Amino acid sequence: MTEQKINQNTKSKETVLKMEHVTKRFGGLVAVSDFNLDLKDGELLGLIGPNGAGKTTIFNLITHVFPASEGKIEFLGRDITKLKTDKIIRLGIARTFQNIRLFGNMTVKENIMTAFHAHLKSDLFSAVAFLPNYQKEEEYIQTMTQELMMELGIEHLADYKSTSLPYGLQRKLEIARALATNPRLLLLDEPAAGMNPDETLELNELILKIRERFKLTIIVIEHDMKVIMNICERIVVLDHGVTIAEGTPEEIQRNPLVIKAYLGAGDEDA
Amino acid sequence: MDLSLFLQHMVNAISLGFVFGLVAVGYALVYGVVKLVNFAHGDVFMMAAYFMFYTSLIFGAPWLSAVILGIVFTSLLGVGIEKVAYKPLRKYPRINSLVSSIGMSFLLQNFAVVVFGGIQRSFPVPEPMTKTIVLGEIRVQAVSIYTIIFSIIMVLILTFILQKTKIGLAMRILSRDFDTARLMGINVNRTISFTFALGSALAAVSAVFWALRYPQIFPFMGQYPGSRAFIAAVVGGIGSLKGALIGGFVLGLLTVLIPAMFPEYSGYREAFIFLLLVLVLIFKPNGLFGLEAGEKA
Amino acid sequence: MKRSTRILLSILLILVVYIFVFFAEKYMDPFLKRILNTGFIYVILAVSLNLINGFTGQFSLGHAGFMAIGAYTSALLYMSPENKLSNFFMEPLISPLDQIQLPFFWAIIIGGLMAALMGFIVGAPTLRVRGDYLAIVTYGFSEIIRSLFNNLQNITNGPLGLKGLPTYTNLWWTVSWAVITIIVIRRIVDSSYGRALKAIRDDEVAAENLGINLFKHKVLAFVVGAFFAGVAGGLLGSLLMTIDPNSFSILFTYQIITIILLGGLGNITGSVIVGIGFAFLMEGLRFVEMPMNIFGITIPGILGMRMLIFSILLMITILFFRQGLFGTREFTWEGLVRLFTKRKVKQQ
Repeated sequence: MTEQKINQNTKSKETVLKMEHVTKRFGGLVAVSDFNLDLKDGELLGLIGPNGAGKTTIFNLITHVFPASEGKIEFLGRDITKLKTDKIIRLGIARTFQNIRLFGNMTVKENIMTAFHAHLKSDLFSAVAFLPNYQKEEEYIQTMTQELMMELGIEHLADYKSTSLPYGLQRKLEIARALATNPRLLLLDEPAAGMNPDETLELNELILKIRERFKLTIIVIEHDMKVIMNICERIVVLDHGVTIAEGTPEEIQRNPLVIKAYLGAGDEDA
Repeated sequence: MDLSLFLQHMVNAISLGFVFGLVAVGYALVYGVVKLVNFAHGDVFMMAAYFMFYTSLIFGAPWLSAVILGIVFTSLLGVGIEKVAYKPLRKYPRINSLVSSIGMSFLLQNFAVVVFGGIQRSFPVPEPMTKTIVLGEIRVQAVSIYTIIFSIIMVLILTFILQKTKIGLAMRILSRDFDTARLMGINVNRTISFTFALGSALAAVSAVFWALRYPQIFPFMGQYPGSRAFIAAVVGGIGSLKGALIGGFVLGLLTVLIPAMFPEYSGYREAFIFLLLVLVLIFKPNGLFGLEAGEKA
Repeated sequence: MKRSTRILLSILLILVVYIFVFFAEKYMDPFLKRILNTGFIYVILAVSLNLINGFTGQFSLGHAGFMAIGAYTSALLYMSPENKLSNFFMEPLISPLDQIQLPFFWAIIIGGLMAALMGFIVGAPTLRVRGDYLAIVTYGFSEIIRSLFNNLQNITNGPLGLKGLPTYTNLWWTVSWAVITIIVIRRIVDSSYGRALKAIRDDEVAAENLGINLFKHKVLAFVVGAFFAGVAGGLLGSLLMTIDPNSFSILFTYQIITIILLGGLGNITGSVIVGIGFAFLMEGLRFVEMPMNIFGITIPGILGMRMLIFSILLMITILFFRQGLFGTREFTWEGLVRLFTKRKVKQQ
């Protein structure tokens, strides 16, 4: 039985994301098998497992990059299993990518501003004619973008081309961009990849800070145990598409199945 | 329409279907391996016709030699185009290569206008091909029979190359996974050059049979069959050679049978074919035989 | 620079342009005027195609098809019933088109709207397919239109085309429409919608995962682009006084593609400058098609040399100037000011 550590950040025990018997098959290959999850508001969940375990596939299923073969996914009580990606994002789920997908021809600022388009209310005509209702929204976008950049400490890079940033800052930009869509649930795919220990520490602080500040529920996929063990309250371990363990960091570290799955995988980043 | 007339139309349709099919396969071959929509394919087809025309006219070569020489020249042209216009852009976003193929198409057409002249020329038709074979009530053009026979031979040769030779294997691997193929020690440049040579050769062969049916050649003659090739490849399923062949076939059938069976609507043939294209794309975005493409995040 | 300052400067610029138009219409050599008119029509075509191909990254080859729709729709609306009668001698024009006559302004607008409608009908099913396919499908669409128009004898007069069209097109019309096109598309690009379109161009998957509806936005770009192509077609028809289905072939589209590549994909300023330049260059290069007398030797004119030179130009641009001649540098008032103040500082 899993112990749920009650975190002081959890406002209520409202279920934010529920996944029931979710399975994904690619032809003959079963990428994810009978995945179940009940994610509460404010939780910081870690999703770990060896390479190819199906972790990113789960993110792709949640945001409907491809459809689930079986099962049901509910977000804030609403069935999102069959909804299109952009609709799901607008309902309040945001994600970052394993291999950063920034808009290379845009500046840092523009990348973030683009993310606000999802919730734009003005129509094209208002935008072109620069009507007052659009003007207000554009101002709002400018102000909020500035705030987000400052929050993440990248406001001095506003006019730089996004792909000219060092890797660690690109990741931060991606997170800032995801936050701009005003999510309830944030899916971070290997945010610490390629970071040195100092940057990883900074990242930990950042994740905790944004959870507090933006009242988020977060799932983190990571290989770097310095992130998972230090900030996640609950961890789900995947191997070959199957959940082999679930529990607190301490429980997971002691779990023989987990150790076996990871043995020799060399995931302990020095 | 009585049976004999219908059969005549069918033979006609099948032979045209093969011509379109071959052009489509040549084009799909290139797309499959380098993922490039080669807009210049139809114009390589046109150049083939001119190569053969000039070889037989200027050098007085016997017809068959002119054709073979033409196929060789066309293959070389295809390889040359790849080296000049596509290879340098390989590492850039695909839109650059796409645009380059359009530019190449434009260039070839205008080159032909200036060098070959805009007026129509008559493609040489050897004696055996001018005959009409009469079987009872049915009158069939010899050209159609030759087209069908040689097209089938070409398809068999192509299948052999792809399935039984090393280079064919290399082509198939490249079309599946470009990056991994490189790591496996496949000589990418050579394979790509060969693909273009082969695709251009196929275009040349279809050019022969096209020109035998419609002996008036002119610089823009590649536009129509070229566009058929695209539509055929998309309908059949981009990346699928079988699909391209079948797609070309279906198009050939429609092209002949619609005016034959519904003469009042012959002008709308194009609209009908386009509608078909759109419908296929709506219901089967990857074409009839296309492979399921899933974008991994 | 404050927004109001920028608007003021732009209005001043437009006023200057119109003053130029006023004098040009009165005193300019008609030959030169024709080139200018053609140039501004190219601007409308290039900027609108750039919205689809350059800013949204959707490779459409259907622009000539939209032009044809606009050209024919508006011509059939602004031609007088007598004019139509004399044209449709093989088969009469269907009613009520044979009786309708609208003022030029409305004919052009409706032409644009028809093209936009077609843009939607074509775009809706096809914009769901992968990028490369779109080029093929739009190319096919353009050719289908050409084939259809060649056959609908009682609507388009088939291959005979429409002759003796009244010349309503003048610099007032072409410049105004060019200005409108530039303003509207610039506004779209600078707005949140423009960011969404550019995001789709840069990375569709990422854009979708930011909540952007790919389909809706692609169709949007397509429809707006088609509208202006239709307008351009209508203006061109009245300029040339004759239209036929074959003048709106894929070859015309290739010319517009040449312009936007030379000017820079996703660069409005480039499209404007190269668009006008192209018209002049086309005329200027006519000499290569005329017989020339060099040192007493007569070199015969070679037909098609112009286009060959252009094709070579295009290939050179594609291979060596992938960003076009202007790259991503757009005209802005701030940029202009900076240019002058930099100079001043240097002189000190």
